[in-house]
Amino acid sequence: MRILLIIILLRFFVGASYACTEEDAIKMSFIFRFVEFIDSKWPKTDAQQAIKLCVFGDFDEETKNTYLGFAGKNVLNKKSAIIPNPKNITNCNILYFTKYAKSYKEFLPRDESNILTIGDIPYFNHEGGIIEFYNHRNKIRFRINEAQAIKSQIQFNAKLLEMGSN
Amino acid sequence: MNVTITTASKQEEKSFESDAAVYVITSEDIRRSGATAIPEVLRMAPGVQVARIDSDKWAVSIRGFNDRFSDKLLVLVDGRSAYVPLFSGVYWNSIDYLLHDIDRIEVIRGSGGAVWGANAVNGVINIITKHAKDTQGGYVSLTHGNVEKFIAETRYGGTTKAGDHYSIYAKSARRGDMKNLADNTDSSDDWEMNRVGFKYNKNIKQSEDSLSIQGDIYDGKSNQLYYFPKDVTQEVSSEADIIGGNIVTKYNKVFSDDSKLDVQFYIDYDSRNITYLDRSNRTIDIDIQHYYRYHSQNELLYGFEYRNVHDNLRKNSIDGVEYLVFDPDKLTFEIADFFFQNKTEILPKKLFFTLGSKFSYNDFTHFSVQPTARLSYFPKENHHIWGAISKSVRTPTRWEDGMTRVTSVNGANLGTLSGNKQYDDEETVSYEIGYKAQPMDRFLFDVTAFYNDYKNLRNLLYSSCSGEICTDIDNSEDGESYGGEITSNLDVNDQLRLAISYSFMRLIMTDGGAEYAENRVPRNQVSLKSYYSISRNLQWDNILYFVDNLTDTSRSVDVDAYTRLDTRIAYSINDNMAVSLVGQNLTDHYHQEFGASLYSKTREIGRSIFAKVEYEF
Repeated sequence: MRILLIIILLRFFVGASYACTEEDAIKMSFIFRFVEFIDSKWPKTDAQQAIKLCVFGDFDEETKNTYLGFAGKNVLNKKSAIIPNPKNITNCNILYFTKYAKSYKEFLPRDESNILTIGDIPYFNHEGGIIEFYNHRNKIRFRINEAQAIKSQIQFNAKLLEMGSN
Repeated sequence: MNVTITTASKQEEKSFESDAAVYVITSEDIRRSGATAIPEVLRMAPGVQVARIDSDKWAVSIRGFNDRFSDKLLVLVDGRSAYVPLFSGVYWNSIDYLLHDIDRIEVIRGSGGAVWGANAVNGVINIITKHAKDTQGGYVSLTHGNVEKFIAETRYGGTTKAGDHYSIYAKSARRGDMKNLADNTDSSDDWEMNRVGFKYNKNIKQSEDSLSIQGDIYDGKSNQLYYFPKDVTQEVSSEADIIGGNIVTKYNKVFSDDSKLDVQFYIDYDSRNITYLDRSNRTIDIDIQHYYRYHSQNELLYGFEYRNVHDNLRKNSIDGVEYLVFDPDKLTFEIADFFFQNKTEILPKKLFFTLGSKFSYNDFTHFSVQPTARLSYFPKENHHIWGAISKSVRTPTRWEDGMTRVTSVNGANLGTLSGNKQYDDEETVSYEIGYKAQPMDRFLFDVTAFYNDYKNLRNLLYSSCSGEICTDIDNSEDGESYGGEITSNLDVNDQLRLAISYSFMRLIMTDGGAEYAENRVPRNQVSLKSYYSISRNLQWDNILYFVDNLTDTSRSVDVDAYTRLDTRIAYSINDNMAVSLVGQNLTDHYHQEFGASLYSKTREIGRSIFAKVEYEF
């Protein structure tokens, strides 16, 4: 009984880092689908080198494993490598600040970096992030900060943005 | 240079006296431009963006938001709306009139909502054909060139014993392909169009009343190569069948100088079978207006319009995918509106104030109000300062209300762009000011400046749908634009006439613009015209255009600035016959002007050279 109470209290205090694996997985798949709409010259790495997706957040084991489960997945004819909370971000192709991330502002914006920045955080676009996830009416949505994309030298394939035109 | 116009305030006035930014393309301008299609003629007007997409498609807009179906511009032919309610845009390839018999094209920049209703947010273009009494006798013309493969036009006009005038015409045209931007191959987008039409102007004896009836029927084909998302490496060649017709009747009753009644009724049908959509549309419209000078210093114009539109949007399946689906696929919808416009002469011949508004009802968004307040000041003769504040509305189209379009295919999963049943009106408040001067008969100067505040513009929202990316729309975008236009005409002497137009504008969207409309506006545009009558029989006319780049670098509309020179040499062999040689786009071999049309590749527009023979009898 006591243990149950502690567990409940822990969950309550630990707050945001309790697992919501399905949504995390959907967002990761979304990222993989989304990067296919970036101009074929991105990222400027060899075919042998993996695409490094650096994921940030104060995760519990379960969530971390959800993210690591995407490692090795094929994307843009390269393998993907998932790096949780790296100290050094210079090798990252994608910086993904999950909703569990405590700090992110010091990493933005990344002009001329060729690095795609994604955040599941309110006002992420406003702070200079390129893609921001948000929820609206039970749908997972994303917004693109096109101006920042241009500054970061990320060019989206016309197909994504053409979706609204006639 | 001071022409009578009717579009700015729905009644006759001199263009100089109009309290709006007006530019009139005269019948001589049309002739001497050498243009073979109406959108090409529009290039010379300030504030108008004309970008050719391919052989028979153009993107035309006024003051921004250019698109093949630019929805903030109203286009009329003799008062009949030329836009397709489906996309709120114009199929320019179906208003391929006999250019020789167009009397003038009135281009009004700025809000026309109070007078013309929804969708005249940034301007109105009214193509006015000649009265049958001005198209008497016979006319035949033949054109042949590298792109304009064949144009044959003929017209005959006569007068009945009762003094009525009539005119009938026929036109057949074939135009060749452009080139593909990516690899310079032929774009297989050739086009052909055949049409016949008539106009009958009844002479009502012993009165100033008039009655006219006119109509056209057209039938054509437009070829296109498509690349669908399911397999973009596979070309799908398709021929769209285009058929349509209309009848327009107008009756004008003059009770006195102070009271006139105008009634207009038209029926318009058109159908187009494109590979991914088989659509047809029928519009019935009745418009009644009364001009009433009820006081020596006050004139009132008021009117009522009812429109009934029925469309049928049948989907087609290509390789198992239905790329364009509408809900519902058949719809009848109605629009009704009432407008008034009251002009007060505050200081005789010097200061005028106009207050007007349109009150509309439509089936999608119900009620809307579009008011305008305008001031006109003539400090001295031949100088006119005017200003206006207006609110205008752009109502939802069928696609915004109920379309689902496939944008990507990933195995069994489809990424789509969807409409929104709650899609609302866009609202724009515009502030305009202008100064017109005609200090001498042969010199005209016109400058305007504007600021537009846009609310509820279309925004794209991306979401995840079964692993694909889906897009839907709402009205969460705002924006603003500002700019100005300067026009000047100078008749140097009896032989040489010069004209210059310069347009400048910037468009800024608040949200970074998911639709990137701000990037579809060239910041600067210039046109320089020279009409040189070398002798009584010989004319040499040139127009030089400069169009600034479309600055966006991250979508398909990524276009460099270009310069274009059109030149025409015309020789009158005798009173009946004339020949001309025209070269268009001479300075550049091939250039891109806009993005691609739906499911197609981007085309480049090349040089066009043709010869024309005309015979009048």
